[in-house]
Amino acid sequence: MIQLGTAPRTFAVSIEKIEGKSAAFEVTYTPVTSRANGLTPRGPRSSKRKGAFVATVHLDRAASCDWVRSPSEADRITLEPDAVRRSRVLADWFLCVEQLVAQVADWSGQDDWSTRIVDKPMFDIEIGQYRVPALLLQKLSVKLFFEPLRRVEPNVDGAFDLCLMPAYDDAARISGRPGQWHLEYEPPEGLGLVATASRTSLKLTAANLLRVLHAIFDHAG
Amino acid sequence: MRGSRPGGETFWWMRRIKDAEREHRSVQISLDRLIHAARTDSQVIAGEVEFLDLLVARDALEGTYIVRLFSEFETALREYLRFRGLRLPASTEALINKVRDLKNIGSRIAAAAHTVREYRNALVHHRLTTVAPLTVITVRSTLCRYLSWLQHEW
Repeated sequence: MIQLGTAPRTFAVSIEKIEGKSAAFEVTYTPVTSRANGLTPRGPRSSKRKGAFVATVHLDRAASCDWVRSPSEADRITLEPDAVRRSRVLADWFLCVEQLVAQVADWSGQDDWSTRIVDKPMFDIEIGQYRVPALLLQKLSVKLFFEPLRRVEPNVDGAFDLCLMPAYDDAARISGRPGQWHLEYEPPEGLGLVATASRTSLKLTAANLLRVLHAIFDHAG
Repeated sequence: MRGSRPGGETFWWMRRIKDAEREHRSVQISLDRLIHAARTDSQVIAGEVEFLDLLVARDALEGTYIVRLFSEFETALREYLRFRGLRLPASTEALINKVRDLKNIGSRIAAAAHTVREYRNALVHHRLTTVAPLTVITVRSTLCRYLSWLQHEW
């Protein structure tokens, strides 16, 4: 939500990465009405409603900003740097999620897990509403959902949960930052992982991920 | 025909239930730590809130979130019936049964959803002595299992 000017105008903000372009984002500013339903647009697509201002931000072109539907000159002065800032924050996080999701899909595929990438809608006060990739995994009757949770936690750059479906039980968590991901897992008895406490924290490697997936599969299957 | 939200409507509602459970966990930990801090140094909350109120809030927290999780579940079922163009039953009990019958949901899964409904009713109407307590984790698991039966269609 952003407020503008001396007579505050409030916008709900949603942002989408433009497919096929690595550094282009579409930022939509939807004026919020006094009606309750105007305060919570449900997703980036639904917020492309009448009266919305839409900017395309190209981070690879000196952060230029093109307006599909432009606000007044006065509003543009405030909204353009805002759109660029939001796009930069999302660009870093999106890349982080995209790479980790691809890595988990690649490694789990080595142990016959079939995978499918799905969109996960998210909200972040610094970005607005947006979508990032998440991953569905399945091996025989065991289904897992690997999803980004949040962009920043104290002392970490991101956190992802691996949940057992359909009950949505927590199975493991990956947290940290690119190149320094850690996998936390509370093993059922007899797993054989070296645990210093009841909850095991492992460096995220293909071998460790597959061991954890194997344990989850045995436990759930 | 599947819903328009990413991953389908059902999954969207399951995620809302899971998000509420995660939120509960965060609030619970925060409240526990605040209570712990306030026990040793009452200045932590001086002028802001009474220590007794913190204890009352902690005792009520799990129930508050269970009511919220069930509310998400109930709304999901109503949205599903609207999607099917069907009449909405007047009671929540009938709502659960109607969706159960439409999707051939297993009797044990439906019975577990009714257990949550009864517990929610007890929370709302202060009749907690009449039912066995449930945790947020159990409630989330039960409601997501039930909803997952709608996933292929919605």
